Amino acid sequence: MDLPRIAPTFVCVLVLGLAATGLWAAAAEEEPAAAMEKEMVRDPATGEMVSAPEYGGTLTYATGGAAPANADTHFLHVQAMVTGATTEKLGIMDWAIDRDEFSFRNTYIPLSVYRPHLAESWDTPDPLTIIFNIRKGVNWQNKAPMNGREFTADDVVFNFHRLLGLGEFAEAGPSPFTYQRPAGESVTATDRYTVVIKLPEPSAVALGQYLGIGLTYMNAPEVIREHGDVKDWRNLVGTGPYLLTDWTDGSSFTFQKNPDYWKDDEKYPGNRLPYIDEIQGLIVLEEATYLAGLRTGKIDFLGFPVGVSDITSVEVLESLQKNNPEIVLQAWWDRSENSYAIDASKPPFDDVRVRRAMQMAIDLEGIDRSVYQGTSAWQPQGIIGEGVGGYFTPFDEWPEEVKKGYRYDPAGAEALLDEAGYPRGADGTRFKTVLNHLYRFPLGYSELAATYWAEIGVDVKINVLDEADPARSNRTWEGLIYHTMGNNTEPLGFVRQMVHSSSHEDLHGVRYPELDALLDAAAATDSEEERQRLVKEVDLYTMENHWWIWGPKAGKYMSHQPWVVGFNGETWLGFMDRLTILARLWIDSELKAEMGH
Amino acid sequence: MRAHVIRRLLLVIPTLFILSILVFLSVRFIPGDVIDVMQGRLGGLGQVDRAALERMLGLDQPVYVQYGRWLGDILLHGSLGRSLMGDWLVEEKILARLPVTIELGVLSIVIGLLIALPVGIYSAIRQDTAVDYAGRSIAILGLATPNFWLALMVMIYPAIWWGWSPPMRLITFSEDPLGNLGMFLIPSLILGTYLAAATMRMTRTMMLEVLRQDYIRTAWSKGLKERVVVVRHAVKNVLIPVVTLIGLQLPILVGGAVIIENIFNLPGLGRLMLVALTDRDFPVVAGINLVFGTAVMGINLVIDLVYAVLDPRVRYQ
Repeated sequence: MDLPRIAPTFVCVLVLGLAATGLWAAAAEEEPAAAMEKEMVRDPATGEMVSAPEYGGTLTYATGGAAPANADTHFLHVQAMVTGATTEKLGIMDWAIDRDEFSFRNTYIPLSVYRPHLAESWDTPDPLTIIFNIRKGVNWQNKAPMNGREFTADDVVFNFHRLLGLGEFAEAGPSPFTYQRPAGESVTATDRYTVVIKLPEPSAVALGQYLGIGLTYMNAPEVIREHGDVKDWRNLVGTGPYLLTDWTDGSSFTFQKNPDYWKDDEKYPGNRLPYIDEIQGLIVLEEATYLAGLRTGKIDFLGFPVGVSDITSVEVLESLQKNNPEIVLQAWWDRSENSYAIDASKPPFDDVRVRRAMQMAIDLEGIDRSVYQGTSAWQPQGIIGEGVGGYFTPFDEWPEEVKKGYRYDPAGAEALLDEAGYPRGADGTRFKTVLNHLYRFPLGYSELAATYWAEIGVDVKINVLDEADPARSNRTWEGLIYHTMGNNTEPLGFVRQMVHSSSHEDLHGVRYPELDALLDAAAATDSEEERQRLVKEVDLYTMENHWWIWGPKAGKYMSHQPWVVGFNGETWLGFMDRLTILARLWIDSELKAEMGH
Repeated sequence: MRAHVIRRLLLVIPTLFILSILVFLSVRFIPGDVIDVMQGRLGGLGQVDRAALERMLGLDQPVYVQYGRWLGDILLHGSLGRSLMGDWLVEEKILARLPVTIELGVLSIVIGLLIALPVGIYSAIRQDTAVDYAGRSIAILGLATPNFWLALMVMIYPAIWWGWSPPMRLITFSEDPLGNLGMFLIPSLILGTYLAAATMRMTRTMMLEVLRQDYIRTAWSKGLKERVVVVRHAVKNVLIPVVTLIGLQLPILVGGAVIIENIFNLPGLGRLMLVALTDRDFPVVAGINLVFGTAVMGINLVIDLVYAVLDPRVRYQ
């Protein structure tokens, strides 16, 4: 080997290597310095430090369900899945509120957390009158035919007339969607910025309904006068933070920032909303597909509509935590989708002892450990869930006698069935019944429950109902039927629907006038405290009577990429107002780039 | 030939009429309607005004009146009606979704044939060799593997192992031809390999039969090269039953498209059908079925006519 000839080459390589190492080391030193320079701010709602709000970027979210049929919320609230970033309502929930005071991790909207939005303020001078003072200086988006004109009281009157079938809509009639549709005798504009609504009777819920239900989005009168409705998305114009610029049928939606939007971030006054330039919504029906998109960074945010695309499977959750620990998971416990209503009008379930025995046969804590790996809310709840502050009664506070009926006690259950006149037959069976399971929920829990009931001699056959099966609404089912419990939704309306004689939701086949009286009193009272007391009383009554069989409330997990900042697991900012949350989030572009996206 | 075509076309009319009744009625045998779906979506939260909605959607009329209106719209206005859920014109939506399904279908058939024909032919001319056994085993595997399972595996595991997933948003051909091809390649491969399995087996069997014919023996005895014997004399005769099989595979393709489009997020007719069925959107389901049925009839007619091109002995009297 010719050493003198290779020596210069060796030296060159060595020098270059050292230089490269030096540069690499310098770059490595610079990285933490850059990270340290990253501006952080305190989130006033949580007290946590987050990267400072920044403008720009694109956020992609996926819907877990089918796309809405059209862009007009007059016909169904779910249209707001797409239109909710473009059109707005008179009220909005307080985005800046301390999350310890109100977590937003439920679908319950107490009136106390509503803040003015398109309405600047409101007043109820008497039980039959609501006055909205419309915000001055809010303009429609700069899109034909509105072209940025000012939003006024006449626009509100037009929309509420359409909703209620008043004025020029008297012939067309009200919205066919009756859920939460408020009552109203007249809606008039007394001046350019004042709307007066007259109610036919005093109502504890009307103000909340006018402020923020799924039907009270303000659509452009000129569009409806010209086209008859806003079903065609191309005609959608609102006052909101985003313009809907594309809706590729069955595939995606695209929203572009409204550069003239009128509102600042409630958490960071002075920051004009929205932060993100473009939002893309992908319509992905298959869970495996949207999870793949989340894992690979093609999807930034998962959780539309509320509860539908959340992760509910413990296996999927564990896989994500193991393989994609960077993904942020926000847990919430919406409602029990493992509970069943009982037809209490016919034997054997017309006997409360039998209903009680069915509940006592289920080992709730055992199921939580074995099936949900300890992640479920297994302690029994009534109709009202733990998120509905003031209306919810925790299990610990139930009377001891009621608690007993919800504790796992198969021997006690068997004794109750013997006492009720259902002894075991020669084959060990006491009686046979049917469990009507709803197909879109996992069958596993129903099968498990049936094995627990088999242990006490009750032979349960599972019948799977399709979502559209009229057996439920026509009440042609027998035995047990899937029904949610522990709901974190508007309490009085939900309880009325479950047990009031006037409700169509005749699940139990039994009506109790004393409950009707309590609920009517709750609806009539002006006192929130009194309403809470009355609803709690009804809730306890139903628990004592075992009209439902409680099952664990499985956790649901919203998920997003770590570069999506400002999100704390909030469900919505008003009924169906999910996109309004996206308008308040921002992308940490530096983190996103660092993570290779 | 012309008389045969006219006769076949005339036969299509009563067939289509019967098909229209079947597609219109069959979906109505499924329990529930679109209003039950709306009600169900509220999850026990509320109600819709059933009577008002029935009036608005025309569901308050007897079924025969609804059918008459639907058929009248088709014959008089060329319209398949309006969606009950979305109030859009069914034919417009079908036309918008059709290109996706056609692209998926055509690519799947092309991929299926590109796999099936060479493997089937080679497997036959090398009968009972390792290559033949391998080809047949793979074909059986292809037949035995459900395409929805394969599609789910493709969606789940590459995302976990390599951080890769297929595109989620439709890329149209005009927007980005290569991106569009990339989006359709994997779903077409999955559907295509499934179709290829049956076609390969058919090709091999027919090839073996043809290779035993006298005229092939004559070709061999004339000292022709293997390539000439196989390509010029054997393959053309093998193609007739294979073409028939492709025609018969169309309904399988349609069924596969419903699943594959859903998993790969392709907004085609299959996915539209799935959503419409879930929504009990009767006019949409009936319209899509009518289009599919008509397409299958039309393509089978074309295939009949192709026989004459492939085999001059076939004459339509």
